[in-house]
Amino acid sequence: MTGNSALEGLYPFLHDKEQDPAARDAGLLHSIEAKARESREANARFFAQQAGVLIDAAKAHAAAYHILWDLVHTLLADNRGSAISKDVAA
Amino acid sequence: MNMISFPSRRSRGKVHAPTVTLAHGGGGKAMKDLIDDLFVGAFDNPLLAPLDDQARIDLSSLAQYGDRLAFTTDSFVVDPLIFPGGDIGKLAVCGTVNDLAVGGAVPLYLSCAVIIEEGVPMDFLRRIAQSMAVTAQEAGVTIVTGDTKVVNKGACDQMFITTTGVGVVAAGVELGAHRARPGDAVLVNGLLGDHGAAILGARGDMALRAPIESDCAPLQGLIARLLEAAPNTRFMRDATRGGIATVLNEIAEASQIAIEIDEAATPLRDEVRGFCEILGLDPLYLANEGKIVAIAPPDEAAAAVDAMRAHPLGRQAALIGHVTAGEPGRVAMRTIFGGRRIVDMLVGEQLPRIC
Amino acid sequence: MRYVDEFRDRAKADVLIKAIEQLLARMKRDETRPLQIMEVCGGHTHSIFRYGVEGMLPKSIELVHGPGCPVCVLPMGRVDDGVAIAERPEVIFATFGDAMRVPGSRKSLLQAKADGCDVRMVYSPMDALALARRNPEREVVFFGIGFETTMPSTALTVLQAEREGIENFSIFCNHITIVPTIKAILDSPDLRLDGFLGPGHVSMVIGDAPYEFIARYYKRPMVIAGFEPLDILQSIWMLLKQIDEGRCEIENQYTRVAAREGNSIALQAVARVYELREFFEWRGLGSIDHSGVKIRDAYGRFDAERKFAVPNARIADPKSCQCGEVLKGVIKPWQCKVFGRACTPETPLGALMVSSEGACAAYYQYGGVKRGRDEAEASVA
Repeated sequence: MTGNSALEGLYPFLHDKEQDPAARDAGLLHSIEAKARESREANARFFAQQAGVLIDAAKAHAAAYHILWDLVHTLLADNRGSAISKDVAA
Repeated sequence: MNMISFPSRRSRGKVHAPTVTLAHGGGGKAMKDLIDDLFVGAFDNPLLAPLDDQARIDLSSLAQYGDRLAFTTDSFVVDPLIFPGGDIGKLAVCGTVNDLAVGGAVPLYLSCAVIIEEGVPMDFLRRIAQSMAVTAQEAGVTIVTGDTKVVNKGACDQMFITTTGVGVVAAGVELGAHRARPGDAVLVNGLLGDHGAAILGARGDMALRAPIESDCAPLQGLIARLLEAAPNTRFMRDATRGGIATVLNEIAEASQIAIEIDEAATPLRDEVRGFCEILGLDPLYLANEGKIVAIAPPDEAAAAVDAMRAHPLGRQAALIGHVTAGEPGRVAMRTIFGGRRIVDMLVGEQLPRIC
Repeated sequence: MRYVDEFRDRAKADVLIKAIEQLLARMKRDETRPLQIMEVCGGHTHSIFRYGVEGMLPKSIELVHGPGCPVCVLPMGRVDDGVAIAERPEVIFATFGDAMRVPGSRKSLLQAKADGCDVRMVYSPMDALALARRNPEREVVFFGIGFETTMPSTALTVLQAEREGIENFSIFCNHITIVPTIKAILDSPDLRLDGFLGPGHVSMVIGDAPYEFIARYYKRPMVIAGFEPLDILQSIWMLLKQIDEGRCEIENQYTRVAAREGNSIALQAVARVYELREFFEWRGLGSIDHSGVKIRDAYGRFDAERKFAVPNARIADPKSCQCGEVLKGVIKPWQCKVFGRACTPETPLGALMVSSEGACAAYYQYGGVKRGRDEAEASVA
């Protein structure tokens, strides 16, 4: 065994960077694909499992928006133009 | 009872056993023989000879040396017991003599308590007792009372010695760690770190065989010369455990001043420097057993260095730094390289570095 | 002292400091922040503090004290495992001196020794092997720690034990590699470093090649540096020169010790005895991939982790520790919330307070507490 191979054994990370570019690119591609696949699957799983909850939430959200809209209109009408006057804040 | 009523002519016992056994601490004949043969023989003096429970000393004989009694005690445990430049016996006498002398006292009397592990060879014990006797003579002190205990194997590491010393401080000598003032000179009496390096080397667990001897020596003579030449010396301390770094920090703390020393002026043996280089130790923290740090007023510093250099134990005496008005309690060093660093108290023990 | 004093020459230091100042003066750089240079190795950190090098440099250079103290970065869990092995009555646990104080979650080896474990301080793994030879009825375990620098000597000791057929000897292997850790630091998002002083003794073993990625992919210059103060100044100058000339290379200042190709005999011994761990835990930095080694199956009988069951528990660093930020140069040691308070060399919480090579311990011991406070006060005022 030579001093050089001993160094490789001691500091493997130093030699990681000396990889063949094609192999490194292939590894990178593989990693990106795996990541993308995992992300897609996670998305699909989430929406499949939570569909009901999500729809309910969206409905609740829309309802709340309508209530807010009505409130603003009422206030504007009462206050003749200024929605952020002290009266309103109080 | 009067010590004069016990003439030292009484017959002395003799030890025949090759090693110390529990019987030698049992209080019977074996113990008497051991003490007679090894200690009384070696320390031979009229105060010890009667083997009373205490030595009695005329106050008038003490008063001729000064007006205050100095009194100190120290225990000695060292591994190995015999090391280059000394042994535990020499160390036990020097340590207590030096603790008295740095206070400005003339060391006079020592007590010596020995704890021996059973199985220690008699010849070894004899050698240690002889070493204590020779060192005591050199230091001008008399070992006047003592005690011997023998303990089971494993209860102590071969031998522990405790010495207690009495000395007298001459009238007018006033030394104190709190007396350092900005501008004062920081002096040492010679090469630093020898004892610490010698002991570490001798232990063998460093696999280093450096030819370094301990500086273990009684310093009362050198200190007397120093005080004659520099009577206004502020303070002295022997730089034993923790080395000079520790002593300097203690002085800076007690006097609420700063100290700056110069690495280039710090006397170090090449062998000690090399030893410290290899093991990653700092010589400023290595123990000494024959070195003092003295703080002298600026106008007496040169005379103090000269006086020490004129003494055999101060040939390499040096002015290594000054007291400054910097941040109270802080010790800094100008490095040989030109940088500056803090010299702090050591935390824990010094441990050799890995690389 | 010959071969030492030459590298601490004050006059030469002055010349280098001048050259550094001149280079900085003409250099085009972002003046709003200092140039941050990391000395990777704890040996450098120690030297920088020991000789006061930092205070001699212009203020526009900031030294960041890196992770290269193997004692400091040892995690608590591993210390616990070491203590557990040392607590076995048949074991003599042999270790380098400064590893003894590293705190575990229960105790340090120093405390274990005080509690009666047979822990011996040695200066080389060969000393531990000699202990095994002298004590055939005991199990001698060597606490193998350190970077690439000490890895080969442990490996060679294992090979020697195999040759001699000594069976009562094993290694508790905590050897780590510094290169992946430099990469981890370079990968951190809050990185601000402009260049590195490379670890001279590691390079003596591995050579220059493993650092090439620092210059090529991270565009940071490095100078492999010796450990004497003049080495360090010269290396800083070489680094600035690279920055000034727009170069980005791995240069070697420590050619008198570290050869370009490293030491192939040492590397072969390393390759024979160890294999990489998937990851290793670092105190202050967390887990780093491929940063530690273990003993190969072929030498499994010399592996203390196989010989003795160890708890192998992972103990998290104390939450208050900011060692990681100090290591990356994001904050200075004294800016850490626990520095000098809950975390001192006597009771270290974090890695960097453990050994004198750790940045925090060095600041604490050699005067950083004061300096830090001064700077903090100045910034408030």
